[in-house]
Amino acid sequence: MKVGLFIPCYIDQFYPGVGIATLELLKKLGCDVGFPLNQTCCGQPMANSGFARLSDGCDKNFVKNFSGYDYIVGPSGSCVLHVKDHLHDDTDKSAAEKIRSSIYELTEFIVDILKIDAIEASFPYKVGLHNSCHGQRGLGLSSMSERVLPSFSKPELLLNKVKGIQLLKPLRNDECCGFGGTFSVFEEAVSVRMGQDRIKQHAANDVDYITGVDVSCLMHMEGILKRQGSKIKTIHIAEILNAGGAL
Amino acid sequence: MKDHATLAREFIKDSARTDWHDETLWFVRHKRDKAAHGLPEWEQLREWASQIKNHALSNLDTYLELFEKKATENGAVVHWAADAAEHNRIIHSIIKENGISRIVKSKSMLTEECHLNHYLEEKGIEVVDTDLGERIVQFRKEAPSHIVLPAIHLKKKDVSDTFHEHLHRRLPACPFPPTVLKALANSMRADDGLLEAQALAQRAGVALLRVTGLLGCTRQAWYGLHAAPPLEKPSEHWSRLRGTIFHAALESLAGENAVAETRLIASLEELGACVWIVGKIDHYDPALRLLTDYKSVNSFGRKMASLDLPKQHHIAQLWIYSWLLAKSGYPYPLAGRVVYMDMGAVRTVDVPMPDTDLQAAVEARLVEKARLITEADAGGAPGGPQGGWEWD
Repeated sequence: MKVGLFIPCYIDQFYPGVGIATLELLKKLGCDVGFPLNQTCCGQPMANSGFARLSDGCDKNFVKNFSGYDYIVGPSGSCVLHVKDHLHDDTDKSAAEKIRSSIYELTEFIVDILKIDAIEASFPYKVGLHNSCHGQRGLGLSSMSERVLPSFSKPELLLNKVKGIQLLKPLRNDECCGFGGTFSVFEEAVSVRMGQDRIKQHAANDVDYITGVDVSCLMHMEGILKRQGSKIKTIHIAEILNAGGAL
Repeated sequence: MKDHATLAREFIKDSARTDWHDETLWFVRHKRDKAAHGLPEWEQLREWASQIKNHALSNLDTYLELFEKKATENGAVVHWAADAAEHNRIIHSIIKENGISRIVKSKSMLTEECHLNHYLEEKGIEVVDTDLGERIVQFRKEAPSHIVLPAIHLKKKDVSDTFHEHLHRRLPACPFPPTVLKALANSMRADDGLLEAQALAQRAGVALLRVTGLLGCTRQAWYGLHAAPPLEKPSEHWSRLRGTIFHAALESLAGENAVAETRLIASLEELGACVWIVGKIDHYDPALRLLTDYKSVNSFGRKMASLDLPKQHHIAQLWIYSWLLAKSGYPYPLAGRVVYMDMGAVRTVDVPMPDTDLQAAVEARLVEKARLITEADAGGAPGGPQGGWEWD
């Protein structure tokens, strides 16, 4: 199974450890992973701000880099959703379509495609899971409190396989953290306040870590936690699933 | 005009208010979730609603023309407007043709989006929104903050200040202290104490009889006696609320030693009836040995002074309560009174208390009545529960 590893630009720039953990984890789970070196931003910030046509170059580059893989996997709900919903290439429509239908967020790839039973990881801490909006509502990684449907969560399913972990749910289990990409720039005050509120509900559970499938949400909350001088740390789910076990 | 981000930054500076606003909207969300999760077919209904919406919007041209045809057939005049400006011009021309200077207007998102109020006001027309929330934000020259809850961003004090400025009125402050309101809220919850007593009696294999039931003093009994209850005026409903508030206030304000709104249970088993009697004492002051019961009454327009009070069964009720108090270790009441209240008046009536002989007679009657009721239990309550409590 040939897997193309898609590492979103801000992870590459600010959180390379998350990229490395994802690579190690996928290898551990038996995947033949390739990392196309010329990959760039997927174009989500432009598209989200109403300038989808400006992401043409990103789209073409993405298609060039990720054609030929069985699956494309990325440790980010929002970037994966963007590619899945919006990747177009007028010069090679079928290649773009193939990528759109074979791109997966990391946890849904492990649960739905690899169908792994056991995770060899140990993380003896109190952890709060942040359900990021794009992953949850866009990709359907978990059920949503506003819908009347059976309850499930792919990230939770995997975290519960980790040795020693204690998962704690905040009140309003699936509320937005306020990051929202460019929203945090255009509506800074609301964005910060939403993040503070989110953190408060995790802090009420006395967690050691807040985790999630999107580094962007975690980055937003990490900034607020650091300014508050909080002891709570943020960590991407790939780093937990890759923690402690032998490579 | 300031942009949303700037306005939001200013709003958020007041952290306590931001918390309040967040909780208020979450309360609405929570109510919505509760309602949704109460319907197993919710997702199907949601899907149908979504399809209906999509269908209507995709076929709007057909439906609008159909609407025009039917409405015209029914005698309506239908106008077509290409945009907000034309919409506003048409409405103003109709108002002008009819020589009108003040209009009332119901809640409408269309006119909101077309800024109709502003347009008409510039033309010298006074507009009064009939929706209370819309009216409040209209006074304040604000836009509605929510599509169905236009004034949800405002607190009671803001509304009061707005009314004061524009209508020279204030919302009245709540006349009840928080302790009374809390007791009132408690009194409206399910009666856990009574349920517990019923469970205990069931386990003990005895019948539990309520004093009010013994006397035929329940609301059901009242309707049974007055086959066709007279139509109540709205003001008379308040007498019940007043009674409830009064009982709640009594409970919260009673002194430490007084028995107030207290449920007492005593057994008739030693006296040969397999029955427990349960009753709730309104107020008993052991120091004064004074027993008081409060009754909110519906006098249906008659003067309280003209009513024949106290009622025979109310006297019996006080005597049974006295028996319950004595059985529960309290000194036997020396004096009793019933306070009758309707919306207009309060009348306090003294109740003579029984001497030792009569006390024994009350107990004997209680046993006899309890036996009658439990023996007739299979067929429901025996006829005429209010009877049998007369003494010469």
